[in-house]
Amino acid sequence: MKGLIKYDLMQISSGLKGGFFAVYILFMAVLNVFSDTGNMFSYIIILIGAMMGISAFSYEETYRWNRYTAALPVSTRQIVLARYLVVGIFILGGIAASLLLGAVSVIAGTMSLTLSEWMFEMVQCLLICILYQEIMLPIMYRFGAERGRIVMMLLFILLFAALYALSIFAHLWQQLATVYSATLALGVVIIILLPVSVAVSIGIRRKKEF
Amino acid sequence: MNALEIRGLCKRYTGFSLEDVSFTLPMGTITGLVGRNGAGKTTTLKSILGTIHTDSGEIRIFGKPRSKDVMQDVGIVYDECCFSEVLTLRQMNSVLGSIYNNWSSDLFYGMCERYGLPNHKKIKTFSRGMKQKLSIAAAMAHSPKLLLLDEPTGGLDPVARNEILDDLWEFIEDGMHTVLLSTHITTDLDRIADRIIILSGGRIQIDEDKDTLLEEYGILKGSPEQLGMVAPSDILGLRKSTYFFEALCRDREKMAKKYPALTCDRTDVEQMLVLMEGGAER
Repeated sequence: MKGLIKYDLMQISSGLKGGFFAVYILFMAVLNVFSDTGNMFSYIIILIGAMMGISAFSYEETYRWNRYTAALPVSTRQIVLARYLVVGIFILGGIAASLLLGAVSVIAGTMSLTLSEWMFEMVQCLLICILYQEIMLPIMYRFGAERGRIVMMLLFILLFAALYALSIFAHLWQQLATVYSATLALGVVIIILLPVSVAVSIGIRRKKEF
Repeated sequence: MNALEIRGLCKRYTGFSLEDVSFTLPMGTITGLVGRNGAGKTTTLKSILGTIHTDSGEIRIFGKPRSKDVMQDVGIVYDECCFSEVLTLRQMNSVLGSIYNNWSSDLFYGMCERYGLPNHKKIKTFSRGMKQKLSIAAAMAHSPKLLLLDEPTGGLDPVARNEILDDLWEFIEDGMHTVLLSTHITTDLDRIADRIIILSGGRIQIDEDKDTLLEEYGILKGSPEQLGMVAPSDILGLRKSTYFFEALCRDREKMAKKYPALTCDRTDVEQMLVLMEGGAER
């Protein structure tokens, strides 16, 4: 499994070295300095980190690495777990970059939130990001990189439609839950969903032919 | 113990099926799996590797069912390099070294140096031949006991092909390694194969020792009018034209005596394949 993780990390990191990512971080840092809500950009980077982990699917289809791994002395479980770990590593990288951008906001005096508020919003962003990956990864295994992204976009549209519908009943929702309890509930959902997501991904990959 | 045993392998797709494929690979041999495009060679290899699900049949590698441990001793070379082109040799060495227990960096780098592959350049800068050589080096660097190659020399220049064939020959010299080479470049097999398996339409048509094949099989030649004197049961494959016919037959000497009016020549693997796929009615 270590070899599979190395492969994905080296491959995706190779794309970062092109300078685009560094320029992007710098651009975000500059926006943080000059924008009144500079801290917002610190959350986006967590999502970007997660999306980079997903790009491993595109690479493996392009170079047919998935065909090669199917014949390696590794189990399907190891192949899938390695991918989840890679995505997790990039999310952690996103958090690190996000903390850095947040620090820039604080130094520049454009942080509009208190430290605890900012950390809480970071946690919310992180949880949403992890939930997104738990849904996205089995979809990627099922549909592949290109069709998987289209399916995810459709899911997003459904999600926003559902949130809009919920907002109509916002007053009811506010009676039922606070932001804190909703975040806690989301955390519980994520913990329960993770082994389900992994099991579904393993099942899908096992049935595939290369 | 045989390196590979396949019994009754079946795999069905829409429009094609692999039916009842059975053969064994003795240790220390090079077996050529030959057939035209779409004959089922790659499907057979994928079934052995477990990258596709078979409908029926049994596959045993070194006497055992396929498993992670067994696959440690199997190497694979596909018709194209499957490694990310943004990586370098050094990075692939690190990746594969973490996967294979018997991986030897010395052997890997040694082969790469012999093939003239640069350590620090990205794989995307390699030519097609270089990428194939990299695939072969990666397949051999963990000292597999069974090496499966799917069209490894297609698109390579004669020098590169010769290098690869020499390496395969050296690989089996100690008698402890086995090669299954799937190809439609029959001249490669004329050079190095011990056994030839000819696949056609998803079925094994011939499974024979190469020397026996070349010695015993022959081609009956004559005019179209003379074709009628040949018993259909003696014809394994046929090609007809306006001026002549060529019929593949077994037991060349016996056929020469049976049909003295016809010429009965030796054959080679390429001719056998062409005649078997000739499609002419017997």
